[in-house]
Amino acid sequence: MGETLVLVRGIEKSFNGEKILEGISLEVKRGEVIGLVGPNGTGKSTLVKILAGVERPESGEASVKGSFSVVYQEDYLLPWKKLKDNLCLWAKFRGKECDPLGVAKKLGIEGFLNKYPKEVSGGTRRKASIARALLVDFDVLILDEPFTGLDQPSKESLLSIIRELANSGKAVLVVSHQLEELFSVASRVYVLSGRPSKVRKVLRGEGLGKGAL
Amino acid sequence: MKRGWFYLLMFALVSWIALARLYPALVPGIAETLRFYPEAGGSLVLKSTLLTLYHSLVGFLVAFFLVGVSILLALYSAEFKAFLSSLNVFIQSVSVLVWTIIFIMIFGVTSSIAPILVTAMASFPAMLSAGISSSEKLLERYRPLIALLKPSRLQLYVHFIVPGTLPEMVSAGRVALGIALRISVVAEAFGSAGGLGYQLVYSYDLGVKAGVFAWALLLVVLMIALDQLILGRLEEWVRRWYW
Repeated sequence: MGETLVLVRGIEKSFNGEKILEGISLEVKRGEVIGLVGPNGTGKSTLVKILAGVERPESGEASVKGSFSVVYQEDYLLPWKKLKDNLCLWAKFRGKECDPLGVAKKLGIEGFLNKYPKEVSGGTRRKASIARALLVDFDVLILDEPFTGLDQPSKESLLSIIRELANSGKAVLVVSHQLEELFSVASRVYVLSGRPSKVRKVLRGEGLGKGAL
Repeated sequence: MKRGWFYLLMFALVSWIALARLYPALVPGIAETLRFYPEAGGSLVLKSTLLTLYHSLVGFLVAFFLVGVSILLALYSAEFKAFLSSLNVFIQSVSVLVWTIIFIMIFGVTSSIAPILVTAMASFPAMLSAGISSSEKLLERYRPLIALLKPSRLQLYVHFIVPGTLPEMVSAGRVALGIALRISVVAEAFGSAGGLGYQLVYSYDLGVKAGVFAWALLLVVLMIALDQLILGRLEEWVRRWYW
């Protein structure tokens, strides 16, 4: 396995005086797909935001080596831009060429590129936010609940994209409730639970299957 | 909505007719008021209306431009943002009458600059407050996306703040333009640059009651038409951009 691209060590985070995350540690290496599961309110999305630099931990270390891209739990599509323009924002800000058609076709949203976010379904918006993240140059991809709102063919397309990314040497961290999809793609799954939330288990190899939790 | 306007029109007509009958020496009748327009001359009516519109719109646009520049500069400097907050309170605390007199003293009674600047001063605070608060909410809302895309400050302004604050800015602009129209006639009334405000006070000075009512009526109709036909529709159109 390659070098470590995502390193989280002893992260602690509180909101309004209540500790949400306690001593969270995990790592993702180049070419790996790592899963993160846990019930609602265990701070999974907070951890994603800490990795993206949106939130700061009170203590501990969270570092991403190289460039990264994120699919947040919320779509954050700009309602005043068409989907194709939302997808190409990262490239536009860097003066780079952007062709969203390839990624859009993989996710089945090529027919909606000229629509505004409010004119399409929630599933299409979800796929658009995934496509936007894929159009960023990255070494590490972090996906927060990427399967939510997707139909089965789209889930399979996304799983295949995730595998391709890992095979091409990217590091992928997937946060999801959808265990079946997660277990089918991840080589290691960190299980968060409790209040404050801690890593209770790390599932590997044959431990990744139905009944593992 | 349309029924509301119908009721308002009925209420205004009935009140006007009743007041004209009760106090004929003070309140002219509807027919007498309407006769004033051809007597004054179509060109004077048109010129005065256009002049008031010009003062209001240019003043409003000056304020709109200043708000846009202020929000951009506030992105670059927290110190400037703090200054803006104090400036806004200061401008709001100075009476329109004071601005009017000061600008007339500086630019002269016949200059159009005074009513334009007074209008700008009156509409600036409402739009600045809306613009600043809306841009703060927007930046907080899209913080994760901004962390991902890492735009420059200028890109942030052009691609996020300008379109993202537009719905609230148009709503604030609707209020501000209403203020602008009302305030510009006050500034016109003090100077001699012309416009509806000037004609209204001129009619009052000459004791032409029908003139006072006719110019006031024109002003009200102008404001309602502008609000309903342009600003209301514009507000509806940009609402789809609301996040």
